[in-house]
Amino acid sequence: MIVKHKIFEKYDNYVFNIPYKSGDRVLVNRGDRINPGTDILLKNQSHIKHSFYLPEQIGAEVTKIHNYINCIDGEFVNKGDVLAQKVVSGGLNVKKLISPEQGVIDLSRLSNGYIDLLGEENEILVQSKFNGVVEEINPVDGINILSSAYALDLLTISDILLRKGRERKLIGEFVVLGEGKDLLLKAGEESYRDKIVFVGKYLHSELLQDLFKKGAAFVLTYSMNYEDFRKQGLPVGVIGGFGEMYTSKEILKLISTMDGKLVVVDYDESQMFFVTDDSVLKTENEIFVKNAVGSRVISRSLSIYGMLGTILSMEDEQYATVEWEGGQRSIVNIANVEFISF
Amino acid sequence: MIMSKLPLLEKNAYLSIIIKDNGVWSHLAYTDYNVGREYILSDFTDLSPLRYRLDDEIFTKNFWFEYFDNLESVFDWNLVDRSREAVFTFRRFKNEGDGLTGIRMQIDDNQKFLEKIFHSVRDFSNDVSLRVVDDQYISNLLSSLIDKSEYDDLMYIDMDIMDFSVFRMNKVYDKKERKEKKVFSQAKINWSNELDVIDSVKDSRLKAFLATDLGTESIYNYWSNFVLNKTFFSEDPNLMDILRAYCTIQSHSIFRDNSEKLEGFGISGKESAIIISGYIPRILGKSKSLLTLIDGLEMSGNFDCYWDLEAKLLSYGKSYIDGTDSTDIILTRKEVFSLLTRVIIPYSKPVKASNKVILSGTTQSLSEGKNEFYAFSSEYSYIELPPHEDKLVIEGEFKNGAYMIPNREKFFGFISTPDNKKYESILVDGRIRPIVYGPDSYSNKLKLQTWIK
Repeated sequence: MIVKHKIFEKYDNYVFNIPYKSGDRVLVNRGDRINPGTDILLKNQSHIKHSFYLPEQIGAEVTKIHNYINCIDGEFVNKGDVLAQKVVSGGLNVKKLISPEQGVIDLSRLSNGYIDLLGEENEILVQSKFNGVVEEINPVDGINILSSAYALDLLTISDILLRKGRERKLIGEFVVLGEGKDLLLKAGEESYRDKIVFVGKYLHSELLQDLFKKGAAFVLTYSMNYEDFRKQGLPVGVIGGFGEMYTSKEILKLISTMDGKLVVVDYDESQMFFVTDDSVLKTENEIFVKNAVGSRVISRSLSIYGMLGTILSMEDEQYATVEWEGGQRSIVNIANVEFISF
Repeated sequence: MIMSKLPLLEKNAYLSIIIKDNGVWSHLAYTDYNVGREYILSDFTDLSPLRYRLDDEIFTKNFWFEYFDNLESVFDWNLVDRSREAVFTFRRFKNEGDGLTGIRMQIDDNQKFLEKIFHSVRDFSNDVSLRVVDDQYISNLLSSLIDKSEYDDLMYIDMDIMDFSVFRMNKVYDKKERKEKKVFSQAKINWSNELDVIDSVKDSRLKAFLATDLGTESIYNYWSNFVLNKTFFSEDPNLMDILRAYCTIQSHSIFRDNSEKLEGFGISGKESAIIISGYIPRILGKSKSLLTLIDGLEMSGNFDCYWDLEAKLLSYGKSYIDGTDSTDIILTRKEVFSLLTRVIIPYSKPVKASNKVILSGTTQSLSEGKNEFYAFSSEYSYIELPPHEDKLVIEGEFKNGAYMIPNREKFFGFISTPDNKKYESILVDGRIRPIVYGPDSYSNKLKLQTWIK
């Protein structure tokens, strides 16, 4: 029997937490119904004046960065202060990172290799883009909300083995770059602070650096080079696979419909949960393939890896004629395709 | 006086399910010895598309409802009792195609989310008898098999991407106690996550076995896609080569760390056999799977090879061993054991000219008559035997200085018996020892082209 891989799966009773810090003002109460546009939280947040990627600045490995830091979290620094330094060339040279202006140090992204220099504090209003009910509010878990969500499977996450405890869930606004279909080297906006960014079919390492420099919390891509994926040390989720591969326009379009939604990256489930009850997506409930003819499949044959198609007919028990997304047809072994549903 | 029928002669239908390597094997065995009917219906379901949903007990419980509903139509057998809507129960056995006398589910201890799956089945139905397949289970199975079979030395090799295990049960003579004893040993490699498996291709030792021209970047991308998106068929030579090299290094690592547990196999003069199971041989094929094991475990001599690729032996091995004492179903060897490959790795002396015949053999049966086969020096010859429904006599003579290990025999012969021990192929590995790979992938490519023609 063949099990279908559900690209999107709907959950009607999905519970998630919006964390808040001391000083933030919670604008909802336990039991409140939340609708799109409801004010949830007033956050105090400083804008990022500068972000420094230490592996690039002083040539330190991400895992050893804490050995080279000369400042502490929350410290006020002046122009010219040394933020980090590393002795190189056997003690003959010292590479220094010097503060270009006054600001407050934020080391919350140090595990990703970044030091942020913060400017003045602003109030940011967090508004709902979904329907739900507030189940619980406490300073430990944050605001617990019950809502509907669509889950998207992630093939793998770069730092899945490194994150522990509460770090294994990330929440943020989902942002799609260039409708997800263009290959980009730079991100358009000035800031992606705390956002979860979908870059589309292929992630170039230059774009990845640019996004994290601009404050992104997590980057999602359909595919990327495996060596880049393992080397870069930043939180990246991959949906399709590695290397340059065919990317289904239909799947990209579906993911792009989630632009602007609130999303939770769940490291334990290797899934992303889009908090929405949008009825644009109609997910199938059947787990098994009942009739192969008419089923949607993704090719796992290396020559057309990742191509989406529909089975037109079965030639025998093992081989099927498939019409691919581009209109071409071929006979394939069904053990070399993945049956999917949306 | 009318005597009641022996249980042996009563009709019986039993369902055995194995969950292993993220896949579900279902084997429905039916026997009616009154009319000489005995067969096993089999189905395989890959659970990989479910990804992490398997750790959700509620999802998995619902999964089983749909699974058995679908299994009914696949086997064309009434399995589910639909008279009780509230509780899931199986139909009691009535006749062929209707009901079961019992259901057993065995879950491999390496299976991801083992506990969650276990609890989901427990919640799902009380009719299912649950077991865990662990090292002790394999040890008991091999111990009983060695008693019942003609073999004195049995090895069970499970080849999967994440787990690679070798179990051995060997009869040895204890000089102190002056009696024969069975000695069990095991060696295994378990990877904790897929990323480590993918990164393992960085290992320079693996590169020594590779024969593909691909650059490092492409090797990573091909391999990572294969490990993370499991497939059950591939014709891509590069991917198959990476998999071959990966398996060779897995078995070689086991050999290097556990050589004392593996020594003497095939060359001690005892009747020996290996049973190969797992995902890798299903995709790599029999010939290449044996190549990886012979080179990785540095095997020589001669032995039989069984292919438990559908986990039938794991499912019903105990039923076969218990015979008429079995409490679930009585099955014969023909249904439980696969077709065999006879592996012959002779000593062959280095010769200047390649393509010298080192083995000349014949196969003979009533229906097929007499056929000849040959094996050459420096070659790895996987010879398919002709399909046969009668007994097939296989005989061979070693030539040009080649001989069997350990007793330097020049002749060999055995019989393939379709109802009991049916051979499908002979593997003659005439390559000169020691087998040397490297120094680079191009050399390996040339060597493999010379070995496998």
